[in-house]
Amino acid sequence: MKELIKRLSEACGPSGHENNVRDLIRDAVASYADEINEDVLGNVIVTKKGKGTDRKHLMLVAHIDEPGLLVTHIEGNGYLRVAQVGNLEAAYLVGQRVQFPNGTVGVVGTHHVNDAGDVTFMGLFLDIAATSEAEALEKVRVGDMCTLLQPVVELDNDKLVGKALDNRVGCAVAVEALKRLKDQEHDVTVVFTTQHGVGSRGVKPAAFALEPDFGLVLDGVRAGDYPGAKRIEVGLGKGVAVKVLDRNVIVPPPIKNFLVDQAEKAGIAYQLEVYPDGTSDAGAMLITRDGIPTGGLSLPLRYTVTGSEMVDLRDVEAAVQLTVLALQQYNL
Amino acid sequence: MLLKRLTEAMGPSGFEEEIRQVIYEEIRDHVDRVYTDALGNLIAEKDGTRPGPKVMLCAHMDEVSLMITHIEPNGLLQFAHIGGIDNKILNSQPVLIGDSKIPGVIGSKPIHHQSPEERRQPVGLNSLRIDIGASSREEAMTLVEPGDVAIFATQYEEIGERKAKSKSFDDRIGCAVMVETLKKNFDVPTVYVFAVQEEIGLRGAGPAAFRVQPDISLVLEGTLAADFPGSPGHGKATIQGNGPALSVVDSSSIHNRKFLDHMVQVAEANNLPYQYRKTVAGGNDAGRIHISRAGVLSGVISVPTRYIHAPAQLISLDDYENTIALVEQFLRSVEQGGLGQ
Repeated sequence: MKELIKRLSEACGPSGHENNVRDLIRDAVASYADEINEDVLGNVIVTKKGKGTDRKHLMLVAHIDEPGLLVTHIEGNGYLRVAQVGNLEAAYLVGQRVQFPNGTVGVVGTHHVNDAGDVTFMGLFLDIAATSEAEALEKVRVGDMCTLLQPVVELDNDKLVGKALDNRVGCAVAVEALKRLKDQEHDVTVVFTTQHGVGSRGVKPAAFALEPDFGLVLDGVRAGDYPGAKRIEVGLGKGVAVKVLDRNVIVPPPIKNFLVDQAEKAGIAYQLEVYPDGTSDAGAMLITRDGIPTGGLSLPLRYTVTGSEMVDLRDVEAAVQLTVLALQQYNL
Repeated sequence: MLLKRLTEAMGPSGFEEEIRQVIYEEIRDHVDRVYTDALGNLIAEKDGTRPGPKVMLCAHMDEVSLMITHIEPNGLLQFAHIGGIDNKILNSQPVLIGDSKIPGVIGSKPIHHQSPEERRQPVGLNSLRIDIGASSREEAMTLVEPGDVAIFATQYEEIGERKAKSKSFDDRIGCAVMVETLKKNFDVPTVYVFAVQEEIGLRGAGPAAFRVQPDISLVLEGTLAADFPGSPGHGKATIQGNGPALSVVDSSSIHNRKFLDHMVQVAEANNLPYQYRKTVAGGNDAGRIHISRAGVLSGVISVPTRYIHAPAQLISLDDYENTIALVEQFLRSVEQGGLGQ
C-alpha cells in the first residue's frame, strides 16, 4: 500500500486535468472491479456488485485532484505566468519545483519583494528553461496546469511525507478497500472524483447519476498536533477520523454513530473530526437530489497546503479497516 | 438594428420582462418552439433533422443595475447594486428608473465641498444618491417607489473603427450572437436559452440546463477586455480586436481541454481569429451547466468587452462577427460528429 500511496502522490493531477492519476487508479482497481466507467467530468466510477438479496447501493468517494498552477500567459522570453487553481499559498510556492502532466519541469520564481508576505500570484512565474515563447510552446500551452514536484519520503516505518497526500491517501484507502471487500451484501460503487478543490464539481454529477442509498467520503483532514497549529482535536497516529462536521456538512448523527459503533466493536482506532474550516465532497453529496445520507472518514495530515504533507500509515490502515467494515455492515 | 435594440432594453437581474419581450419578438419566427420557464428563462428550440446530440446555447439577458432602497425626505433616492458594480464609475451617471423609465442622475457632494479626508476615501453608496428632480419624498413617490430598478441611460452608438459603445454588452452581445445563430438551420437539435439572473449568482442557467438535458453546451458571453494601459502582458485577460475569447479556467469552471482544443481546431480550420481568456477571475453560467444532472460537456466563447459592468462598454464589431462565425462553425462541426463520446 505504501507503494501505491507513493505512486499516486507523485502523479500530477491538478483539478480538471486529472488524467495521470486517473490512469493509475484504473490500473490499480482493474483486478477488483466488476466494471470501470468514466463520466463527463472525468470521475472514475468503479462498481463491485453485492451478493445479497435485498441489496442497497453504497457509494464510496475519494477525490483524486490536487491544487495546481494554470499557465495563463507565455512571455516573449520564455517565462510562464500562472494563476492558482484550488487552495495554494503564493508565498509557499517560491522556489518549489513543479511538474506538468507531460513531464515538463519548472521552478517557481517571484518578482522581488521585501517581505515574504507580499508575494502574490500576479508576481509569480515559472522558469522551464525556455528562452523564447516559441521554445516554451514546444513544452506547454496556455491552459496547461502543473503541480508540485515532491518525492514521497519515508521518515520512519509509519510516517510518509509528500505532496497531495490529501487526498491520494484517501484514494489508496479506497483501492485497498475494494481489494479487501469480498462477497459483500450490498452493491458498492467507488467513485474517484475530480475537481473537489474547486467546489466539489465532480461528485455532484456522479452522485446525481448514481443515486446511491448511502455515501461515504474519504478525504484528508489537517491535524492539529504540531507547534502553534490552529486548534483541531485530530492528531497523527491516533486513528482514522470519523467526520462530525466540516465547513460544508454536518454528518447526520445516525451515520456518525454507525461509524463510531463499528470502530468500537472491531477495536479500530478512531478519533472525531470537528473542523469548521475543512472541506470534503460530503457536503455536496448530502444535498444531491432529494438528499443522500452521507458520512465521512478522514486521514489526519500535518502541514497541508505546504507540499510536505505528513501521514501515519497506522491511521491509513485503520481507515481501510473501518471503510471495509462500514460497507459490509451497512444497515441504516 | 439588433445590437441597439438588445443593449438599450431594460433587464436588471430578476426584472428581465422588457429584454425578454424584445428577444421574443426577434426570434419567434425563426424557431420551432419558444417558452418561458418558472424563473423567467426564455427557451427557444429548433429540432433539426437528427435526434442528437442536443446542443444548448446559453447567454444571459440580465444586466448589472441598481435598485431603489429608500426615498429621503428631500426627494433623493438611496440605492443598492444588483450585480457587481464599482462605485467609482457611478458618479454623475444618468439612469432610467422602473417600467416608466423615469430619468434620474446619480449625484454626490461636489469636490469643492469635500474635506481632504473625503477626497482620499473610496466612494461608498452612502455618499451617492439618485436625483430625479423631486424636491420632497411625496413628490418622488408619485414617480418611483422602493424596489424599483434602475439602468444606465446609455445609447448604442457605433464609434471609431468598427467599434460599438453601449451599456450591457455583458451579455446582450451573447444574446445577439444567439439571435443571429438561431436564424440558421442545423441538422442537430439546438436549444437557445436566454437566461435570467446570471449577474447575481448564476441562478437561471442551472434550472434551464436541468430541464433541457443537453449533451453539449456552449455559453456565449461578453467578457472583460483588460487591455488597458498599465495592465502587464499577463494581466490582459482578453484583447479587443484579437477575436473571440475561449475560456480556459474561471472561478466557476475548469474547461474540458478536449472541448477547448476542438474549438481551437474549428477556428483554425475556418481561418477565424481566436484568443485564450487569460485569467481565472470571473464566472459565468457554464459553471452551473457543466455540473447539471450527470454533467454536461461545456465551453464558453466570449466577445472581449472593455469597461465591462460600467455604463458605457465598448466592443469590436469584428470580434462580434467573428464570434457569430465561430459559433456557426462550431455547430457545423457538431453536425459532422465532432465531440461525439
